[in-house]
Amino acid sequence: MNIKIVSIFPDVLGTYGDQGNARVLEYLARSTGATTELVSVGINDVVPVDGDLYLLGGGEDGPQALAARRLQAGAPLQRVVERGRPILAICAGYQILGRSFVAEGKTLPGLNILPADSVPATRRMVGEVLSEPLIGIGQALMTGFENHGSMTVLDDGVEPLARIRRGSGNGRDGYDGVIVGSVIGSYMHGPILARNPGLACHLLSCAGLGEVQPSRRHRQLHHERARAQIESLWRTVRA
Amino acid sequence: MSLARRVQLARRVAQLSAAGVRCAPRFQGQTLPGRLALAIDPDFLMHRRDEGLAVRSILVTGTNGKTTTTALVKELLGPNALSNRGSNLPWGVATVLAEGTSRSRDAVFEVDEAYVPSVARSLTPAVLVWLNMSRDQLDRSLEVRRLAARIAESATDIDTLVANAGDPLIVAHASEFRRCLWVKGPEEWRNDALSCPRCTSELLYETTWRCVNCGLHEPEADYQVDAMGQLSAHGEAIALLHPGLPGSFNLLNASLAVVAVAAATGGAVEQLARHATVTRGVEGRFTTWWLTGVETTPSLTTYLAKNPAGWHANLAMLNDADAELVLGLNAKVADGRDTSWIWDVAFESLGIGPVIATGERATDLALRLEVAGFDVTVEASQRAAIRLAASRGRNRIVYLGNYTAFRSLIGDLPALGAIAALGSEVAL
Ligand SMILES: [Zn+2]
Repeated sequence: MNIKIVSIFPDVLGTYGDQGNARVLEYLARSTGATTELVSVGINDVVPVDGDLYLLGGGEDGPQALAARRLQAGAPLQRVVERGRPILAICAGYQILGRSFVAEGKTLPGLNILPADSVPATRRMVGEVLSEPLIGIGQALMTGFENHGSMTVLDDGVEPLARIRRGSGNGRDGYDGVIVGSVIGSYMHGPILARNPGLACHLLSCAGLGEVQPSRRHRQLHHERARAQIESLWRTVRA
Repeated sequence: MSLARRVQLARRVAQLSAAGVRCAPRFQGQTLPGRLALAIDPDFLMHRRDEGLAVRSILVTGTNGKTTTTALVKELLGPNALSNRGSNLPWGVATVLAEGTSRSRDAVFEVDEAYVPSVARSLTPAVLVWLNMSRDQLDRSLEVRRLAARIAESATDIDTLVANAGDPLIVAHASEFRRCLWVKGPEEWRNDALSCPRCTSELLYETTWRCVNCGLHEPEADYQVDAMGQLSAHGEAIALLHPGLPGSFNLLNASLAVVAVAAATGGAVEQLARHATVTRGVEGRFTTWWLTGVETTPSLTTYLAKNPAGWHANLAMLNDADAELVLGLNAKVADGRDTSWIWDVAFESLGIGPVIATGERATDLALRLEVAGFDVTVEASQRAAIRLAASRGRNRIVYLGNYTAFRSLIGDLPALGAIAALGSEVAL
C-alpha cells in the first residue's frame, strides 16, 4: 500500500512547525509497512488532487492571504473534499478553509469549505491547550500549543473537534476546531500530530491505511504533555 | 526634586546597588542597578547624554548572533569600551551606563528587537547593526514582520544602518534610514521570508533575491564575505577574516562588526578586519572544555542556539564531527513556551546516528529525532546526559542546547570538573 501525503505550501504556511505533521504521518505509515510519498507543494506549484491525505499549517497574515489566493485558483481543495479525502488544517490553514478570514486588517474570502468565519479577537490567544476530543481517536485528552489573534465562529450545528479544558481554541464557544466530513480544523500546533498520536492514526485510517499503532515514544510524549497540563490545571484551580 | 538631582540620584543608587549585587548571581547584577536607575529617572539613558557623558554607541540587534557580534565589536573598540553581555533590555543598558566612567567614550550594546526604538531615541547611536530577522519565540514576541517594522521606527535616531543584504525583511524596512551599508554573507536562512514582506508575492532566490511583483530586491552589497572568510568591497578582495568562531554565520557577523566599527569610528575596514577575533568563547558559546571530573577526561564543546535558524546553522557545522552528540531542550519563558519549532529543524540532513536528548522537553526532542531516523536515548538530567555520553567510548562530546538549557548546563560544568581548554581553537 502506498499513501500520498500532500503538504500544502509549507514554504509559506510553515511558520509554526506544522510540517511536523507530515513527518509524523510518514513515520507512522512506514511503521505499518506502507510506502509513503510526501509531496510538499510550493506556493508556485500546482496542487495535486490525487493525494490520500492533505495538510495545511499556520502562517502569518501576509503569507496566509497569499496562500488563500493561490488555493482559490482552480479550487483544488474543493475537488479533494469531493473525493472524500482527509484534510487536516491548522490555525491560518484552518481559517482560510472557512467562508472568510481577516489578514492585515482586511476581511478576505476563504475557500468556503467550512461553514465558519474567522474574525479578530480582542487579545491574542497564546499558550498550552488541553481539550477533550469529540471523536473517537483512542484518547481521552488532546494537547497542543495555540498562538493566534483571530477567533473562529462556527455556524449553528457544526461539529467542533474538541471541548476546551484549558486555553482558548476557537475563542468564544468553548471548543477547538471543527469536523466537517473528512475535513478537520484546529488551532493546535505542537505539532498536533506529534502531541496526539490517536489523531494521527485516525487520519491514516481515513486515508485507507487500516489500523495503525503509534510508537512507544509517541505515546510517551502524549502522556507527558497531558499529565503536565492536568497538573497545571489543578494547580490553577486550587490557587 | 530638580532634574539634575534626580539624574544624580539615579546614578548613585544604581552604582551603590551595583556594588551590592556583585556577590549576587551574575545575571541579576546585570539588570538590578539599571532597573533602579530607570525607576528613579525614566529618562536615565537620555540624561546621561545631557551630562556630557555621552558615548559614541553602536547597537546590535536581530534574532540570532547578537551576543557574539557584540563581543566582536567590543574587541574592535578596545578595552575601555562599554558593553553589555546578554542583558539586552533597557535596564541592562542602563546598568552598564551607570557604572561607566567618563573615560568610556565608546560603547556597544546588544538590544532586544522590541526595544530598539526606545534605546535608539535615548542614545542616538552612530550605528545600528541589524543582523537578521528570523522567527524566535513567536509565542511571546510580536510576529517577525511586525517586529521588523518596529525596529525601522528607530531610523531617524541613527546615523548609519549596517545590515545583512540577504534578509528581505530587513531590506523591506530599511528605506527610512539615512545611510545604509549592506553586507552579504556566504549563505542565508530563507524559510521565514519566502513571501515578499512588502506585497506578499513570492520571492525568487538566484544569486540575489527579488520579488516578482513589487520590485523589492537585494541591494547591491557594499561588502561581501565568502565561506572562506575572504572579505570584499564592491567585488575587490580586501582582507581575510579569522573570527575565531566556527560557522559561516559567524563570518557574516564578523564582517558586520568590522563595517560597523569602521562606520562609527572612521577606521579602515582592511585594518579592523585583522583584529576581528574573539579569542575565547562568548559566555560559553563555541567553547571547548576538558572534563577533569569524568574518568575518561573527554572534551566537551558547547553550542547555544535558540530557534530553527540557529539550530540549522549550528547543526550544519556539526555534521561530520566525530563526537557524541547531546541535544538539550527547555521551554521556559526565556526559551519560548512553544517547542513546535524543533520540527522545522532539518535533522534529516544530519548523519543518522546515536544521540542523547536531554533537558525538560527531552521527550519532544526524542520523538522529533526518532522520526528523523536517529537512535535516541533520553536522559532528562543534563549533567547525567554528559556523563552518559562520556561513557560511550568516544572522547569528544558536542552539546547543543537552547537558551535556558544551555545556561543550566554551563552552570553544571563545575560539577563535571570542566576547565576551558587553553590555547585551543574551537574544536570544529
Ligand atoms: Zn513584493
